[in-house]
Order: sequence, then structure tokens, then C-alpha cells
Amino acid sequence: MRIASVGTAYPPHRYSQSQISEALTARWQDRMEEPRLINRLFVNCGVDFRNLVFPLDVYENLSGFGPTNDAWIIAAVELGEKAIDTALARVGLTPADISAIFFASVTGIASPTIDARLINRMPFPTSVKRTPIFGLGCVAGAAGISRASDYVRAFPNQYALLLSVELCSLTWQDNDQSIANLISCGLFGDGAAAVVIAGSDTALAKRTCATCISGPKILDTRSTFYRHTEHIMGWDIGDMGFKIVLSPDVPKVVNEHLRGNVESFLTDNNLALDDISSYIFHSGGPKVLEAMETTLNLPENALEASWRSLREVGNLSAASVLAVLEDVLVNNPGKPGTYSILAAMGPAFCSELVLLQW
Amino acid sequence: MNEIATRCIDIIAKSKSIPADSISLANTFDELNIDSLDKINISFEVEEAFNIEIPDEALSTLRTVGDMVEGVTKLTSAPAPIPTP
Repeated sequence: MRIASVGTAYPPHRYSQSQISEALTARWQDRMEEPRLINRLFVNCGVDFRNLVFPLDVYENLSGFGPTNDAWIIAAVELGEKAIDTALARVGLTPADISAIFFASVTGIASPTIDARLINRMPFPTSVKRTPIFGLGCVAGAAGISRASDYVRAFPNQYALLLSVELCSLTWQDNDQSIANLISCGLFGDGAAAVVIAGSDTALAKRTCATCISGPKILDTRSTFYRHTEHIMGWDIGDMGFKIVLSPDVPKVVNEHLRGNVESFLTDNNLALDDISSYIFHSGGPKVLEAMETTLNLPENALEASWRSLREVGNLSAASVLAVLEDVLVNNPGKPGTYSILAAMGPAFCSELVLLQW
Repeated sequence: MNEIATRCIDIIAKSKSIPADSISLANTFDELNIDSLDKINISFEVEEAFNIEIPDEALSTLRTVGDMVEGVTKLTSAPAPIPTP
């Protein structure tokens, strides 16, 4: 089985970090003893730009969970459709070719889910199998690839589609000026990504041509759950919607667990860290990326694609690692036979590793 | 140690509840267990104490206590604007 294609889509309203900082400072300055804290936190987020689903002056008019979630549904469907169109067009597929859809998001909820609404807009077969995933947060990009690859392992002549839409700006909370919420407002952005995963007996998985961009094979996946770490990251869900839970201990958890997870995973595949030629890691934030670099003793610039994604669009939660994957696939694919690790961590706390071979 | 250094170290000591005499100019913030959020809180205290404004972007470049003292010294000794006739 193989990652055949990745497509991303971003909302049209693009702002610099300082523009967002100024807007939120103006909006919350009467609620804060020291409003300059916003910009002082924002400049440390490693983010230069973000695309937002609405113009900045619209957000103060969004009030309450219901209207905000309604806005999320409309925007998620539109952005999701664009990401799917891009991913499918890159390999000459149409929605009719897809047998299973995995939809991951943690920034809004809907029933029927976003994937169902897309089936009504796009010519997917009515027999398509749907697996909506809510709550995995940032890890869902990597975990979604793992679950979709499990599916095509069972049905090797089929294509599965992973879609993630994350509209993090719709979780900004007017009544929460905690450090966690301010960092969240400075770090997370809006975007969508779709990935086509081809079963090993499909035409795309078997295709070989000198000029095609050929995505990597998925060799193995590994989920690791860290017991009793629920407090590290997640949502407190209340009348106003999603309120961030974000512990400063996230980098510590990375330092404690990631290297052991990766080494054990590679050992089980008769490989070692030295065998890995590139790393496709979730753009969690500066502290998380630094912890990943340190604990794995990575070479300089090993995570450049992740840092670039963070600077250009912010942390897109589940969609981030998929945006990094698109960058690598299109601009810097591995040489034939080389190995990559795709990885993300998220609420539970937990990690998901995917071993790829180009 | 000059007055600026002494006052900066006192602010850091109070903020982190550690003895001032255990802090030297050569100490890195990491050694003193001062994270980026602590640094922001300390920066507000320093601004108030010296009546200065620290550029937001400057904080991430400060690695040691000496770096902070040097930055504060520059900001407090900036020449007053020359009055135009």
C-alpha cells in the first residue's frame, strides 16, 4: 500500500502574526491586566502567518457554541471539498474511485458528519464506508493514515481517503485569557488536508514511471498510549464551546517517550535511527519541535519542513503533519528505497508513528 | 556588580523564589529553570523597575542573566532625543 497523493486547502484570509496579535489585543485589552502579554507570547510561537476562515473583524460577532459550530460546518465542507479535489486531481482519480473515507477534526462537531455532507456534494459511491474521528486532536493526521492503511491492507484493491479539516480560529475564547488560551490563539491556524491511500493491488500502487511523483509505501504503523496523561492536552467543553487544555509539560512528555517509541518501532522493523533519511513530523510548536530534535538527536535542518509549515500557516492540529507530508512529497521526495518516519502526538497523551519507504 | 545587574538579579530571585546570591551573570535562564513564560513575567517586572519598554522580539534572544543586564543597560542609557530648534 502506498500514499498516492496529498492535497491541502487554506481559507483565503491570510494575516501576519502581528496583525492577529494586534486584533486580539484590541479585543481583549479591557479584560487583561497586561494586554502586552498577547504579543509577547505570540512572537515566541514560531508562527509568521496564518490563514483564517473569516476576516479578523468578523470573529467578535461570533458568539456562543451554536453559531460558531454552524459556521464551522459550512466552512469545513467548503474547505474539505477543495482539499479532496486537489488530492484526487493530482493522481487522476475522482470521488467515485474511493471506497472508504476517514474524516478527522477536533475543532467542531456535526451529525451527519462533514464526510456525509461531502458525499452529497461530490460523486462518491453511496457504498462508501465512513469513519468520522473526533477527539484525537493533533495526532489524528498520523493516526488517520494508520487507520486508512489498516483498511486498504484488508481491501488491497481499494482506495481510502483521509480528510482532516481544522478551523482552530473558531475556538478562540473571549472569556478565557489564560496563558494556555493565549498560546493556543497564537499557535493554531486553519486549514484542510486530504490524503489518498492506495491498496497494494490498485493501479496507482503498482504504477511505475520515471516522471510521476510516486508517494511512499506504508510499511508499518505504531500507536502508543501514555497512561494517566489526560491533563496534558485536550478540551474542556462548556457553554461557549471548546476551551483549550494545554500543559507546559508537553515537551517533557516528548522528551520522556518519543525516542523509546521510535527505537522500539524501528527495531521491530529491523531498522535503526541511522537508517531514516527524512522526518515528517507534526508542527506542534517551537518547544515540541526542539524536544523532538533533541531527544532523537536529529541532524540540523532535519525538521525544516515542519518548521516551515509552522511559520507559514501555524499549527493546523491534525492537518499539520499532512501539510508537511504534501511539502515533502511535492518538493523533496525521498530517493527510491530510502525510509522516512511520519509522526504526530496528541491528546491522551499518545503518539502515532508511520514507517514509510520511497 | 553594578546597580542594574543587582536590581535585575533581585527581580529574578523574587520571581523564582531563589536566593539572589545564587544567581550570577553567567547563569543561563535554562540553568535557573526559567522558561519562556517566566521570562515574559520577569520582563514586565524589569520594565516597571527601570521605566523602559523591552521590544517583544528581544526576549527570545536573551540566553543569560548577563544578556538581560546588557539589554537593560542599553535601554536605560539610550540618549535622549536631540531637541530641534
